[in-house]
Amino acid sequence: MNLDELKTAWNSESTNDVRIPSKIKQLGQAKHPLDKLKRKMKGEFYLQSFCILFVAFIPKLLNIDPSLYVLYYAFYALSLAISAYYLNLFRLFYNKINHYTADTKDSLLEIYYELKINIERYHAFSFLLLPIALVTLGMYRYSMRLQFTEFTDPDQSVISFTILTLTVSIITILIVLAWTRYFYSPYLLQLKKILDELKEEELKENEFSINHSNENIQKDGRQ
Amino acid sequence: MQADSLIEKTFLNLIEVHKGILHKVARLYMDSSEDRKDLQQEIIIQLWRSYHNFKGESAFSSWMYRVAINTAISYFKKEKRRSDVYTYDNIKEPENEDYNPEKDRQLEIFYQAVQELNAVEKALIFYFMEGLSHRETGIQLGLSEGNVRVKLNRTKEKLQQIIKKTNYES
Repeated sequence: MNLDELKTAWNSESTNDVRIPSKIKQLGQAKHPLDKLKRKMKGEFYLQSFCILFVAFIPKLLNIDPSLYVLYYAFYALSLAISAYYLNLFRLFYNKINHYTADTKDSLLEIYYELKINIERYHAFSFLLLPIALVTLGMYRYSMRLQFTEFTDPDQSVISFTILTLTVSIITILIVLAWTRYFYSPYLLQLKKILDELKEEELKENEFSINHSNENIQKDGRQ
Repeated sequence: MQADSLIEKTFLNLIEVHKGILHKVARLYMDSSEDRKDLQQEIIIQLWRSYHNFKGESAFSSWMYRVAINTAISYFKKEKRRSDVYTYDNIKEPENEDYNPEKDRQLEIFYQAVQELNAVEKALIFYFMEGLSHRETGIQLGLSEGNVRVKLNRTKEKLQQIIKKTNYES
C-alpha cells in the first residue's frame, strides 16, 4: 500500500461523524483519566474534611478523661495544620495539571512526575496522621484504665498496647499503599510505558548516529 | 459576558473549520464509533480549557494538532467491547458523492492496521499523513528530527507488515 498516494483519500474523507456543539455547555463531563482522578481526589477531600471535623468530638464520644483534653486538642491542632497543608497541596496540583499545550514528551513528563510526587505526598499525609491516631487510642486506653484500675495489670497493658500499636500501624500502611496502588498507580504505569517508547527512540537514534558516524569514518579511511 | 460569548463562538467556529483533525485523530486512536465520539468530545473539552493559552503565534491547526494528540495519547481506554470492534469483513462503504471504492477500502484497511500500532507510532503516522515535515513532527512530539525520521520509517515498515499479514495486496 502506498501511503503517499493514500493522502488524497485521507484529506478528502467525510467528517460527518464529528458533532460540534453550538454551546460549550452542551459538552458532557470530561472522561480523561486525569479528570477522573481529579473527581476522585475531590471526593476524598470532602471525606477527609468531614473526618477532621468529626475527630474534634472524639473525646466526648469515647469518654476520654477531661484531664487529657489539653493534650488531645494540642494533637488535634497539629493534625489540622498538617491536613490543611496537604489538602491545599492536592488542590493546587489538580488545578495546575490541566495543560496539554506543551510538546507531547514535555507534557507527559510533567504529568508523570507531578502525579508521582502527589502519590508520595498522599502517602506522607496518611502516615503523618497515624501517630496522632495512635495517641488518641492511647488516651482512650488510659482513660479506661483510670475508670477500671482494679481490672488492669500495668505490665500486660504495655505489652497489649504495643502489639495493638504495631498491628494498627502495619494495617494502616498496607491499606494506604494498596489504595494508591489500586486507584492512582495504573495511570502512572500507562504514562511510563509511553514515556519509555519516546525514551527508547532517543537511545536508538544515538545508536543510529554512532553507526552513521562509523560508516563515514570508514569511508574517509578508504579514501 | 458578551466578550465571553464571542470568545466561545470564535472557538467553536475554529473547531468547525478544523473538525477533520478531530475525525482523523479519533479514527486513529479508537476502533469503535462510541469510543471515537467520546474521544472527540474529550478533545473539544481539553481544547476549550487550553484555549486561553493559544496566543495566535502559531497556526490554529498546529496548536490543535498538539492538544488533540496529547489528549488522545494519554486517554487510555478500557478493555475493548467485542461487539464494537469491526473487522475487515464488516467494513462499510462510505456514502460520499465522490466515492472511490478502491481508495476508500484502502483507507479503511489502513485505519484497521493502525489500531495495532502503539500510541507514539499512531502520532507519527498522523503527522506524516497530515504532511508535516520531520522537523515539524519533532517539534510537536518533543523529539529530534533524526529521531522522527528513524522512528517514522520503522513505523511505516511495521504498518506495511501488518497490512501484508492480512493478505491485502494494493
